[in-house]
Amino acid sequence: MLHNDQQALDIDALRRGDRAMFTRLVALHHRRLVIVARAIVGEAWAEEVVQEAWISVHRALPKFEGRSSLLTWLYTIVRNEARTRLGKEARYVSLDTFPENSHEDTLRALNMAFRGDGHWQGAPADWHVDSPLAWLENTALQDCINRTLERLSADQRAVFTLRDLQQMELQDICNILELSNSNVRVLLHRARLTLMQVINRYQETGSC
Amino acid sequence: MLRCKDIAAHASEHIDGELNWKQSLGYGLHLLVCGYCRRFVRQLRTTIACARAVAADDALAHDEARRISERVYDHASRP
Repeated sequence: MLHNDQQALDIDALRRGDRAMFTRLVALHHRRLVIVARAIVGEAWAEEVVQEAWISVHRALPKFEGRSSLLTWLYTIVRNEARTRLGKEARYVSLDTFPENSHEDTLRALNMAFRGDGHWQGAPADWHVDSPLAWLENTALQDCINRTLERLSADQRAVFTLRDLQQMELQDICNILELSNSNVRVLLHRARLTLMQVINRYQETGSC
Repeated sequence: MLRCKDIAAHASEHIDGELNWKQSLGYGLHLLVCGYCRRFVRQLRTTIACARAVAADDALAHDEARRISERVYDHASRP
């Protein structure tokens, strides 16, 4: 079942300490917060960092004034919690699960689509259907997309999650992940191209 | 004049409205005359929409969320 992120989230109820609403907030955002924590602190500590962040969120909610969006506020708390954890831990174990050469493969495949003068070698493959809703009926393709999302590097996945799933402004993403605007753009574009290539392959071969 | 390769390289910035007016103008003119690039940009938009729709159902199961919530409320009730 698909859901709307902000569905039935009553900020006043959250401020009053409504437990059911808090549980709903956790359900809606926990996984995406873990994705962002993973990009900052690595796989080993991400879950624990977000669990700690929920305690901070609960403590701070009565004082939440709504100057930033609830989403930006949540991610900022997780970022701060993650930075604190980084300070405590002497080492940072980067767990990029997608081999770096796979990103290079994606870019190489795209570059090979062009002639020396920068124009297309041939037409980009025509997809059978361009409607996302029609795609969703295809569970095999959904699995491909989910697997690809899981295999993106931690920073690409965090940027993609914040921008394309949470629809956050690029500047807010830069602040949360402490990355430059150009870095965020590159990570986002690579993540999208990787996903696009997977869909393309699925169109041509029927598998990921 | 932008090449198709440039259109592909800056497609995300185009989609996100991050190009300045001059870049947007050049980008738009290229798209007007190049069907291959229009297809590429359309497919990139479709990719984003697909991923968004697939990932929309990533909420925690209620029991899992309740466990986290209970831990938070337990912590808050400690003296």
